[in-house]
Amino acid sequence: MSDRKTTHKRRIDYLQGVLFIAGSFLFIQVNYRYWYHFMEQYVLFRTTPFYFFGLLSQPGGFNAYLSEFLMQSFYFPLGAASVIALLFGGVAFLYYLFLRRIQREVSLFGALLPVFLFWLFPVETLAPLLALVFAFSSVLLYTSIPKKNLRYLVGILLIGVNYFLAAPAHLELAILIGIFEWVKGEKGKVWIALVAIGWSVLLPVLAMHTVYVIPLREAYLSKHLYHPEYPIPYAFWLIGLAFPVGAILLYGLRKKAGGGGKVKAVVSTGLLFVCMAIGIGWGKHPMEQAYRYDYYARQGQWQAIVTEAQRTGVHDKDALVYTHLALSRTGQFNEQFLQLPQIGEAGFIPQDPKSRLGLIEAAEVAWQLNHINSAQRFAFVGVLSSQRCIQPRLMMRLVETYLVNEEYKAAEKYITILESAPLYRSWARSQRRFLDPATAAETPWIAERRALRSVTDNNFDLTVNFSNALAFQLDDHPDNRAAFEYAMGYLLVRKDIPTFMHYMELLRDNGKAFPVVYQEAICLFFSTMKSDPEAFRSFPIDKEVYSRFISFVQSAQKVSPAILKQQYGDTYYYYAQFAPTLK
Amino acid sequence: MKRVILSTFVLFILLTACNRPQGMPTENVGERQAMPVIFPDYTEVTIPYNIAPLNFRIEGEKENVYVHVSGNITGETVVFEGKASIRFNEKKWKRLLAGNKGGWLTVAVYTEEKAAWNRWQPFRIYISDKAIDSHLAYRLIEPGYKKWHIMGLYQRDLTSFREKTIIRNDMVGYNCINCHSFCGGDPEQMMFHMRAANGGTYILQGGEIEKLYTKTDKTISHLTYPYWHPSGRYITASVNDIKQFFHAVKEKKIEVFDLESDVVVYDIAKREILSGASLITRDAFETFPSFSADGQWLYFCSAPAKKMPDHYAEVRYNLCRVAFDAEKGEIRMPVDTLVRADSLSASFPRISPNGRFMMYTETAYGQFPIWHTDAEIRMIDLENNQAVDMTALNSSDTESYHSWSSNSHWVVVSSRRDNGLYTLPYLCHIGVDGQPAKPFLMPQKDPDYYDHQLYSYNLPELIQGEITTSPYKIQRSALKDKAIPLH
Repeated sequence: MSDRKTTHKRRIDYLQGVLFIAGSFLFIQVNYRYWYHFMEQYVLFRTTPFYFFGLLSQPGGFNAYLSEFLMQSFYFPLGAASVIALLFGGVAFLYYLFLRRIQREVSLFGALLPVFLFWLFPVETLAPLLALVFAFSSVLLYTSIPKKNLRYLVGILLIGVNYFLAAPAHLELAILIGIFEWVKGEKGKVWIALVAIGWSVLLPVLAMHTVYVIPLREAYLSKHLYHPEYPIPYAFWLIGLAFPVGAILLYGLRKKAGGGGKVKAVVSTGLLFVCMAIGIGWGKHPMEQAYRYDYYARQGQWQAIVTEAQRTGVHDKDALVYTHLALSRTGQFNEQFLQLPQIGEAGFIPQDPKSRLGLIEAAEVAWQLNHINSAQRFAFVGVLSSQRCIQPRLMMRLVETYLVNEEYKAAEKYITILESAPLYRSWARSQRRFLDPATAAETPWIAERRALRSVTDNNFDLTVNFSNALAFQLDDHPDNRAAFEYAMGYLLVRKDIPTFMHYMELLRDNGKAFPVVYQEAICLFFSTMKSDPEAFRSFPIDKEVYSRFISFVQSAQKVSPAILKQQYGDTYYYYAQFAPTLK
Repeated sequence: MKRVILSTFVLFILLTACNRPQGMPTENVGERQAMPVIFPDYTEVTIPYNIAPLNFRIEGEKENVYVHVSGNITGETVVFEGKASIRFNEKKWKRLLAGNKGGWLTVAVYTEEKAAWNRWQPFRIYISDKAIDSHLAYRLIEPGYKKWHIMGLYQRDLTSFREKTIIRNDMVGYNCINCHSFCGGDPEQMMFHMRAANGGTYILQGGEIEKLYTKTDKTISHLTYPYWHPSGRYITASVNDIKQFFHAVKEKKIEVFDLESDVVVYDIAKREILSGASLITRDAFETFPSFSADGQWLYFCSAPAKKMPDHYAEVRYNLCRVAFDAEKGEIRMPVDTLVRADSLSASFPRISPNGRFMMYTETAYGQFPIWHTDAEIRMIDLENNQAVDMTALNSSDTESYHSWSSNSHWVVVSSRRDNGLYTLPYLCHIGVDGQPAKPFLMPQKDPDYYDHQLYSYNLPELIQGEITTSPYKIQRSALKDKAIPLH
């Protein structure tokens, strides 16, 4: 190839590489940003020997260590997109270099295609990408050694190193070594390829009986690429095989690839652009809203949830739980909860949660309701049931609950662990002062929560017997604002107005203010369930509320449903009359 | 040749530098009137002469630490150094312990803070001339809350820091593995259960593994809390209908209780539950059985049956025993009540191998004390039926499970004294008269180990050697063998 052509081709490669990295950045940032924020909570990179050697003592543990180190960036707004896009670029570039080792006439575009699979099958951790980096770097080292015997020896060693540090990179490496020797090696040396692959297959079995005591799957594939408790996703095989198969295909097509340089460049760049545009435009994570709200909740941006919900509506039950929580946190619960698409109990708190998000939500709601033991329990279960048995956000909640419950030694345990994590060190250190009982007692947030702690023991689970658990909360502390709002919200959504009225009497007797939605429900109660003008007058109903209710009653039979909804759709009596009754 | 000489010289300098503490304080050393605060707390403890080094850290911000350890019998003084923690050289440690068996070590700690050196009041570590069983078997599991995730059975060589896997649940379908038990501390005679995936009771005996399905028409559940007969022929176990609930108040977390429970004896040779040795009653809850060291008595806990969970806090278990005829496989009435549950409830009766003492756990109510902070270890001298003062062994937090060393001089006790949440194994010397010494936490190579450990040491059992059955053999049995039903 002439120098001019080579320069032109490199420019095209460069352009496509930059385009791919930029596109990957946008793809992650637009569609998966909040998912990756969420995933950051399921690793806890620490600076302790316990953590480092603990990972190193597992196949592929060093790869996991690097992955968890880099995943700290997911905490920051642009972190996941930046790191993942660069890793995509890095993997593609290393693969491109390998392809060039087996044939000179190859374009970067060909190397990008297998990496696109990560767009189709996004991975929860960086470990799969880093395993590819290990494998490709190693095969480049291997292929750079001209002396055969030395190369074979280095190959055997590299497969071992890849296994212990970054399994299953050793399998990928062995296949790539095999391809290289098959394509470039001397005739009759195909057995080298077989030895490499055979060694990579044998090594985990040897390790199982000498170094590790682990299940077979973990021995081969490590437990860090994909969740070890679920079946191996077919994406794993697809991605793992795409690179060697791609290499073989490109090698096989090398003679047909000549000519038409400019046209090919334009077509491939255009194709790349179109594919990426489709991915960015239509590749949204199906639970994007829930993860987005979870992120806001974690950052304490409760108003952002309310604003988003008002702007875009609420699309799933996890988002609904967070929206209720946000309304309660921002003091807007009574005014707005009825505007949300109510689904019953599950909209207030997840039912008997088992999912990652469900357990976080349950802990958040219980904390808001000041059901400290439940918040602690859901946080604890969230930590222990996570893949790595750590969850820094819930560990922080554990610290808070132990401080409120005056269990200082348990709080210190988690503070110590969080102090060893760079991302959480600062927060953990700031909590240490509360380990002094006197300081804790004088700290407003702790004192306030202690004042509202459960007094009467009961065994009702908030996520199974929501109303009973709340009733005990309110019996102990009728002044627990959040619990009161949630309980009344729950009763109103269920249209259990008689029970609701029991609490209204308490509210009246305590001289508390009555939100509009309560007044509307009271009007409805006395007009449809109990005719008692004297009792009705004992409640402070605003004239406007009453007049509007009368107007509703008078026009209910006369105007069309659409008009009725337009005029009274925001009222409780409209909800009670026309919304389906929930279980 | 020059190179060799030079290399040897450099190596010599390096080795010398390692052996001799260069920053050893010699003058201007302040005297502190208190003993240093160390973790784990090994001050004034009594240890077996075969225990692994008691590595510890000095609490507080310390730049350098020197420790002088001298034995009262050999008179030898060894100096160890560290930054914030001290890790003893294993060879030197073993030499110190072997040479001062029956005596004590005096440990003087020097610490450097802000370039100023202080010498703390020395403390002693007493070295018993009685060995502890070489291994400790335990389950590592996250504490409670109904759910489990990762767990496994492990064995730790107490004479070193080696920990090995017996079986982990990630090898057998993430199931629940529980209630490991050994015949008189014999590592070759063991049993445990698996629940959920690959469920069954696994009995390891004579190098073979038997997987059993232990629920029968006559029993309310599979075998639950087991204990071996010293002959190795029988296993007594409770059968329980176990439930849990969660408390709402801060003083309590979880309640584990039985809706029903009975005690049975299983004959390993015949694969049957002995009808003549079962304590199956409707009006009482029987649980936590164990045999005496001579196998002639069956101990168990018993409480009048109550409606559960309504009266969970009123169930108090007596400690009872009934004669057991190992020849016939029968119990002989009457039942003796050894500890009457007037105001407190007893569980986990364990008779010392020499037959003299009965150790048990006492709590305000119920039979599952792990979540009761008031739970404490109690002991009765069976020679005179007098209670032994166990104050030295107990703490202000939960003490629950316990297991004897085969020579009756040591016990391991589960305790939550360190953080109130994770159960850790404390080893305790029991004198000839039954008096406990100050217990000490099972040592780890890294003194910070327990800070980062997120598992409880559940059911610590002292055993006399290493379990040699391969984890893979157990895994194969779990995955491939079919559970054999009882006759």
